[in-house]
Amino acid sequence: MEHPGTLLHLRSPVLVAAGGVLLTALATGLVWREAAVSSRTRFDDAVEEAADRLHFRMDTYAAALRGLRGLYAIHPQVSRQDFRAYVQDLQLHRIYPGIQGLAWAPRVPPADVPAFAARLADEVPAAQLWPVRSDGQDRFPVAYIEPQDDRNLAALGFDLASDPTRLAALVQARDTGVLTATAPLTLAQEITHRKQLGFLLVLPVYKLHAAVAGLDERRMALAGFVTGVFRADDLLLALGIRTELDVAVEVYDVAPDGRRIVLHRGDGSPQVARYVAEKTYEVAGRTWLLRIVALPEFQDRLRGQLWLWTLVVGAFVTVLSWYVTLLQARTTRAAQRSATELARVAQALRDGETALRELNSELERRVTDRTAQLQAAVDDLEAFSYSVAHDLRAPLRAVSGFTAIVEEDAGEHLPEASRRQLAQVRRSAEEMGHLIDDLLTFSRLGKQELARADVDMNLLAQAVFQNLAAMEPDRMLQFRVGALPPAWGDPAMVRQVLVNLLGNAIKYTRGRDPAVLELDWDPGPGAYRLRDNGVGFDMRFASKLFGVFERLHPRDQFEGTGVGLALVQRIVLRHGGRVWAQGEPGVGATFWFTVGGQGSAGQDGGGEQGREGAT
Amino acid sequence: MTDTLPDILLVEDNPNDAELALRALRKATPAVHVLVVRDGVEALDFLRGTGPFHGRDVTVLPKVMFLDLKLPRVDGLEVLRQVRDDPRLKCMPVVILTSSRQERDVTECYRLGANGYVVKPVDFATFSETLGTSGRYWLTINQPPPAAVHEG
Repeated sequence: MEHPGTLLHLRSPVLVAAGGVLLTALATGLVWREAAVSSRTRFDDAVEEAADRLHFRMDTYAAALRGLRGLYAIHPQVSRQDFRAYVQDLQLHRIYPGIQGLAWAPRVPPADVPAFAARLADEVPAAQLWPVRSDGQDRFPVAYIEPQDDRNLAALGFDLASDPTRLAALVQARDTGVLTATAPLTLAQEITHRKQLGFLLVLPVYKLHAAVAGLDERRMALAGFVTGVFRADDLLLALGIRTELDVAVEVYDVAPDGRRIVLHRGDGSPQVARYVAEKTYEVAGRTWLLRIVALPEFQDRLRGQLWLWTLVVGAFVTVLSWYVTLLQARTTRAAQRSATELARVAQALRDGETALRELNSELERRVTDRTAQLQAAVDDLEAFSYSVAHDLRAPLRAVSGFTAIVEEDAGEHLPEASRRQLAQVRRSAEEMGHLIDDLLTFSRLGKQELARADVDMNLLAQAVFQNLAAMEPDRMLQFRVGALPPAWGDPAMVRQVLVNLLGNAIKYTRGRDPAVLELDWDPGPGAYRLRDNGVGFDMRFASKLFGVFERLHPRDQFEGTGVGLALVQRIVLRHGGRVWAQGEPGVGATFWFTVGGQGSAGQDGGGEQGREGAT
Repeated sequence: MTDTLPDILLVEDNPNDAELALRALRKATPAVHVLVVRDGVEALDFLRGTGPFHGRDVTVLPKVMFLDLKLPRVDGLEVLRQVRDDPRLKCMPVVILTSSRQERDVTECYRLGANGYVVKPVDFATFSETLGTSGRYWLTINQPPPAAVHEG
């Protein structure tokens, strides 16, 4: 019962620890995996975000250019000052970050070139139309450009149509009428050694009220181009993709033949990247490819911390759980020990109770056994008495009887001595008969139940004395009786006491003339007192007085079996009383006796004596 | 055994006691006819005419039976019980003659229907007088039950 429990308790903390480790590992793995999934998602989001930002920015630029074209729709002759004021009002750097500049490139037919050049030079000192060409084609020089920083000033007067890349965009824009981007190119503004790639957004401006539905009409109506100038690196950096999204973005211009030209590469991408995404994006008639690469920071931040935290927290929780379980197990063990101890105590109590019960039943059994043994002994005694009564008397009767017959039939023929001897035989047998009778009476006393009653001692004493005196008609007997309190005892037995004591007194006063017997109540010890003036006895032998078969006088002087006083003592003791005597040889004897339980008035002393006697 | 009807049936196993009793009875009533049997079985055989007493005329009974209690084979109490249970014998006078003064015995005998209880004294003079008186009483003074009653 105790064994498996102990094993369980030993196991529990270990199991918990193992479970904790397992759970932690599992959780860490899950977190790892979740982080991977989540970082993938995040990366995808970042890709979308980057594309959206670029998209939105490009739309904004397109809107700016359309706004600029709107200026020409209402105002065919936009002055340099008007242009500047308009662009300044756009707050390019704040609202359109990444834009290098906005420009106006009018259509300058070959005939108008000198006038244009003259006016340009007039308006902007040192500015000229460049490069010089003489092919008879229209020119599209940058007439206005804002803001007027060094880079933009460097582009002033540059003929956009002089460069095939730019020209292609111009032609496409003129013919389609929509915003058109150039392929990547090196801007005229790249005046430092740190050159970037760039591109132009061009939007055709047609002559006011000209029809532009058809291709020819558009070619005829073309007035010039509003142009957005963009340095690719500046534009992309301004989008904040790298710093805010932790991804690097590369932008390629994809030609219709699939050739890729790098537009922007930023500060470079990791050689090995976990996540790479490519997204194509149509920009003003061109196809851009956005290649987005997760930066190491992106991955670290996504993956690194969480699983580690999970591991640490898991380990901590595991250790904590293990410890708590250990404590619990100890507590439980202690509790169980207590419970076991309690159970043991309870068992001990139960055992004790059982033992007590067994002891009790054993005692009862013993009492029963003893009682049975006692009963057996009593039965044996009874059988013995019965046997004595029947079998011992028969031979005595034979001795007595046949002796008497011999005396009767042949007595006269026998010598005197023989006759005397035969008489002696007969008397001995008869004496033994009396002895047996007394013995039987004595033994019967032990078995008889006491039937107590109030006994009038005055009446009883007188009656007993009369009977005894009648058997001694020749004696002079004086019997004086004082006031005797009643006795609480078995009447027959109390009578026997008086018979024996008075009989004794009469016997031992033989020869006294008159013999004086005095029975009264001795208030001192609280006892009945019988005094006589008989032969008395020697106090040295007082202790033998009440023994069975004890005699203080020779049998030939005073007949008797030596049972009488023993019988008296036995009766008195059975009543819880006591008997004692004083004597003086030749003067007389005094016997005191109490009968236990004397309860009537004036018996205080007697009762006390009775109790004393009983002990 | 003699066919003469005994006046007294004495059931006594002790020959000494039997002899002393016979002497005492004869001394008091010289013509008395006493039959002595040694135990309860013999006593019942005689009364019922069975066993050694087969063929005896059982219509007439002794005037009294002196019955000891302590007997071989069937004891006195059992004899008394059977006599009182027998319709033909139940009225016959039965006197217990025994050494026992035991109250138990006396009570039981009277309860079973004994007509008397006599304790044998030890000294012969008293014994002789007791037996003689008793015998004389049952033989000469007491009127026995008529035979018709015996027929029941």
